Amino acid sequence: MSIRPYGDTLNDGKVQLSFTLPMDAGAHGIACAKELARQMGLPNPEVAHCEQMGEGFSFYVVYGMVPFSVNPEQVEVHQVETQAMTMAQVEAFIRERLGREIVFVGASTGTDAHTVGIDAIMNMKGYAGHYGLERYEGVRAYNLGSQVPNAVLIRKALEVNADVLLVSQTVTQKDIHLKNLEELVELLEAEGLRGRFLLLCGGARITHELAKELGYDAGFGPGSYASDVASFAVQELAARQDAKTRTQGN
Amino acid sequence: MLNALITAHPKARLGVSSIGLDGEELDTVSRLPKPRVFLPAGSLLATAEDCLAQSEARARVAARTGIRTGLGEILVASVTRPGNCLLGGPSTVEGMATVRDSLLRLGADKVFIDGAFSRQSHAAAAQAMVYVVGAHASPVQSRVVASAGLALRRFALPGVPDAWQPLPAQANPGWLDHQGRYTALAPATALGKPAALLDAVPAGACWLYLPGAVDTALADALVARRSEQAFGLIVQSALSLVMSDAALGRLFRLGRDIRVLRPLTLAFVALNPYSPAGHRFDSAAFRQAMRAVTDLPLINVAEDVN
Repeated sequence: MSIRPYGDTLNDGKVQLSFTLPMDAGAHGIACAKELARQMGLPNPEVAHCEQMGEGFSFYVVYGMVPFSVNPEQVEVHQVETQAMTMAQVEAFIRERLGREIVFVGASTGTDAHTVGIDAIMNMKGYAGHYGLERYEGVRAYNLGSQVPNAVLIRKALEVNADVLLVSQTVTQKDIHLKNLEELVELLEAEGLRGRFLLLCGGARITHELAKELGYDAGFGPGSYASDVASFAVQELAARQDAKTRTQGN
Repeated sequence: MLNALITAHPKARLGVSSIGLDGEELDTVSRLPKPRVFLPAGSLLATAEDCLAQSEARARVAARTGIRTGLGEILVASVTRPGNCLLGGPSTVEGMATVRDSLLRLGADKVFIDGAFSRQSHAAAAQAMVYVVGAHASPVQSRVVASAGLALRRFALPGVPDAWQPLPAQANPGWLDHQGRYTALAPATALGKPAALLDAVPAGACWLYLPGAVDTALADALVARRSEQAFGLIVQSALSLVMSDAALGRLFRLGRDIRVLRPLTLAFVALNPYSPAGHRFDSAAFRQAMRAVTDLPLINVAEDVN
């Protein structure tokens, strides 16, 4: 069944968007904002808010109605497909299947100064009632914080013999997150270290498909918690351990 | 690009794979329409289990590789009914080398590996590479051409004399004297601490051998010490230089002799004056500007290939 955005009533298609224009606020700016919204496919748009943003700039909130719909059954999406486990289940899995401490090294890399994402996953208190990796028994978690150069992340991973590298990217202007994430993969390959670590990334614009494109083992988008990351990591490490055992046995 | 290569080899049994995702209807990042990848019957493809299930072509699984990706195990399959395919191959160079060998063993005459974003490391798994330069990188043509010029200069870095070829066996960075004799240095890598490595290089060093990556920080450290240390650099390949264009420009301006153990072969440069973002370059002017930075064949697959 096709759906449209929900505004006042089901499937009424109502949407809100906001943007800044490089011109002063006023009737001319409002008209330009409406015209842009019309070109975006919103018939009869309405400027609900207009405000001066310093000299020569103005900010707009526009309401409109999209005439399009989407059938969720026809939209393909790839997601991390491991079994989701609770913190207790992850701890039991580490104890029984892996039998050793698992080392995570995480950071917000490059110029990204935001720690909100990496802290939510790694710090003991976690986020929204989900404890972070530091709280997990059987996990040693190193949170390097923000603005960490990729080279420093790799060096730390070698120093503590990491199993999992976790990279958070919050800032995405001009696709800087893609450059940072790509550089880490290229550095690991150049150092001959790519196969040594499970490589995970997360952030507001990260999807599992994007992670695959960038050369990561998994990607976690908005709404992911430490248990999601830990569930994937420990199951994947166990699967790789099993594969290695099989290879050595042949 | 991949479709043009496939079309150009109608009589060959081709093997294809991708380090990212190719053949999907909409691009993963931009959500804009993307060319499908059509494979004729008899072709071989190496793709993740999920991707094979979503392909319109019918294919018989010929081998399981055991290589794990986020989209399932990489399978090698033979196309039995032609159609569009979704390619999602191994993400690592090591995995791609394994898949390449598998495709060749199963009878592929040629193997094409499609790239993703501006990742280049997978070229290490190929005998030759095609470098794609296009308007997707920037709406400013001069920036695109300048960046491509730096990359092409990097790809063309010369090899070392035959006598130095045993160097790949050395896992640690080291320095070479004027006779090419290697002495290992203690730091295992320059990553994260370039100054510590450079401090360890003695005054008599003619060359510094780096088995791993040369990043922006190391390049800048070399520039900062230009009046104190003047040795040349030996790296595994041009792919070992992982740094920003600005840093690469500074490194080249330093005028150091930079040699590689494994030179790259560029088959040609593919030009794409169109950007999915909507802007475009004048095709002839773009070609002319690129001609000024390379002697390699320049091919616009939309205009030059029937």
